[in-house]
Amino acid sequence: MNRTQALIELQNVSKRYRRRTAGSARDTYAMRSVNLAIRPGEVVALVGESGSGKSTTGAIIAGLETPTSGSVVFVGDTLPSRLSGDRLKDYRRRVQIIFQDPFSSLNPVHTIGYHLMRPLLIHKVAASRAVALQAAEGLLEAVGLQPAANYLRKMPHQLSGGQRQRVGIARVLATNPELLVADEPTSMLDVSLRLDIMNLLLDLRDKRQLGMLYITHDLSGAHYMADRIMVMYRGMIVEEGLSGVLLSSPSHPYTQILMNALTRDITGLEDIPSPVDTQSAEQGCSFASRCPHRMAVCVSELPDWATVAEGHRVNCHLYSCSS
Amino acid sequence: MSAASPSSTPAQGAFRKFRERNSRILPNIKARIGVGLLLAFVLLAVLAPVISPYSPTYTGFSLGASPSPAHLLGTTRSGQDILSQLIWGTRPSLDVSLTTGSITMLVAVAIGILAGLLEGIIDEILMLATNIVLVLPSIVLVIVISSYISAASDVTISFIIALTSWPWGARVIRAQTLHLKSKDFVKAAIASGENHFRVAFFEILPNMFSLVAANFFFTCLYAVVTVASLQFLGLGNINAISWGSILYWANNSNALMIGAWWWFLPPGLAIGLLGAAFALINFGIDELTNPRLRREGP
Ligand SMILES: Nc1ncnc2c1ncn2[C@@H]1O[C@H](COP(=O)(O)OP(=O)(O)OP(=O)(O)O)[C@@H](O)[C@H]1O
Ligand code: SF4
Ligand SMILES: [Mg+2]
Repeated sequence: MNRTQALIELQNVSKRYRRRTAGSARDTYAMRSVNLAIRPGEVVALVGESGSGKSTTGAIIAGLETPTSGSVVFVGDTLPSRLSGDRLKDYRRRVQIIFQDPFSSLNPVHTIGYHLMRPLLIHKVAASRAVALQAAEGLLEAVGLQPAANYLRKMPHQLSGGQRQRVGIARVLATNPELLVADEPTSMLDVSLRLDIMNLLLDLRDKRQLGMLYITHDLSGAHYMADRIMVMYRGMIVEEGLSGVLLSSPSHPYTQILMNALTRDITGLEDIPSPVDTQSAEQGCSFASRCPHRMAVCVSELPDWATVAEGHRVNCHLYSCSS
Repeated sequence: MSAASPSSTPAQGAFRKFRERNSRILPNIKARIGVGLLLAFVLLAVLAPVISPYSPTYTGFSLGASPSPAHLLGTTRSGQDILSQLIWGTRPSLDVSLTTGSITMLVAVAIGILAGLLEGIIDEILMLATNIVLVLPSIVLVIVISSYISAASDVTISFIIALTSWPWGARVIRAQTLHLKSKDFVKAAIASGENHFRVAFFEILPNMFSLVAANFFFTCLYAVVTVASLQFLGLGNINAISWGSILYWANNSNALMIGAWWWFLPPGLAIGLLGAAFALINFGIDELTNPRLRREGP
């Protein structure tokens, strides 16, 4: 295992959303006791169906949401439950997020130049507007939008989805972050553009030693991008391992179903709902209702983590029972 | 920075959006009529000293005369030229409605955005205040407050009306803020380190331009009618020349009973037309921004 200090570490993080509908409060656990670590220069993919809690995990890392319980450790420091002041600003500079939908991630009333100059000015990366302007051009070039000067004056609606996503990437690079959350950055793009964006991100990782959480529901994309893959189901991590190892021997029944869907080329995978509900997870395996290998112990006891190979762990009774 | 600066301040961005909207407002027939009417009144107010045949306060004409070439709308019982009063009366009527619209809009925007953005306890306090003001019978309140203040000035009246009419705007603006807040571009702005103030007024507000404008014109409409009603009832400053005070004196002199239509009809019509101008602009904005109301066609 890599011995360098983790950039970010989630320790037993749970996130509960309280939905208030006409008086009655309904709780949704979007994350349950999630443990996760990302090291500098490492890409960790978070894979799972729609509603499994991937974006919530990303939002917590990006500092847009706060955990209901558990702690977030950033470069060795346990963060307070609510960051504020200089510490918050510092965190915002060092941790950035790229969103899924390039059409809603840029403000329709601001120019591309404005989007890029703001982070530069907020974090005093650029001392003046003139310097910021210069730097903004450099950022556009770095993400392959040329001639950069032409783009600065444009409004978001004048760009294509791929160009917008590049602007989104240029913006997060403005503050020279150490950690990047990429929340399904290619899923809304044409297939022909996806590889370009993935290569751009990998290139940046190589050049800047960025740590990255790459969120996706596409296992092949995860394989291409990530050093490690974590599989999430109903707010819980059910399997994790080095990309090659995990994909060559998927162990958790859920991962196996995801793999089968992939080889049979079932594209509608993300449409299978995996509702997270009030019922507490302490009542056995969360996948039990859909699992083809369900045993009696599965519905009564929470499975333990079992190591199936070097750097490959799975949270399932099939493995903890046999070992 | 040069005019061709590639970066834009939020004001420029909002202005650009305004221009884009504007090019869509003009083809809209309702808005066009509304803007035309409003401009006509503005022109009348500005050019009052030039157009007005006599001084509106001069009392030396024959008393209670019917319309004649010398006095197109006749004279009052105290010998003033009614047409001159009507023309000069445009100014305060326009003033008070635009002032009220502005104050109300500012309060509604500030409270609506803050409540939507901050949530939690601050939101709850703000919304409690909103709901309290919302259920108060506002016209009664306005009448009561202004009758306590003898000869309340127009600005005072504006404030009183604004005090009771901001909640409608605040509620829709809060709802829209909640909606916009969930958009990725707002999250992205927060993630890049923008503070609450910048997020509220530079990211969210420019995206609510039409909502704010519609609220503004609606309040102007409400103010025109309310102020006229107050003055008709003899509240506010009835000695200043305004459409409402013309109506007050007409009523006081039994103009209706003696059939002096040239005295009470023109100011009533003016109030109605200015109100219609605001209403038409408001409808126009609604139609342009609410796709369900937008008509098919070129
Ligand atoms: N702000 C919120 N309020 C209430 N519930 C929420 C909120 N955000 C997410 N949830 C719920 O939490 C669960 C996890 O959502 P999340 O967006 O993290 O899933 P996801 O894995 O990113 O899914 P997708 O692939 O569709 O993006 C879902 O059931 C969702 O409805
Ligand atoms: S613990 Fe049991 S139910 Fe859960 S995935 Fe493993 S075998 Fe299936
Ligand atoms: Mg998501």
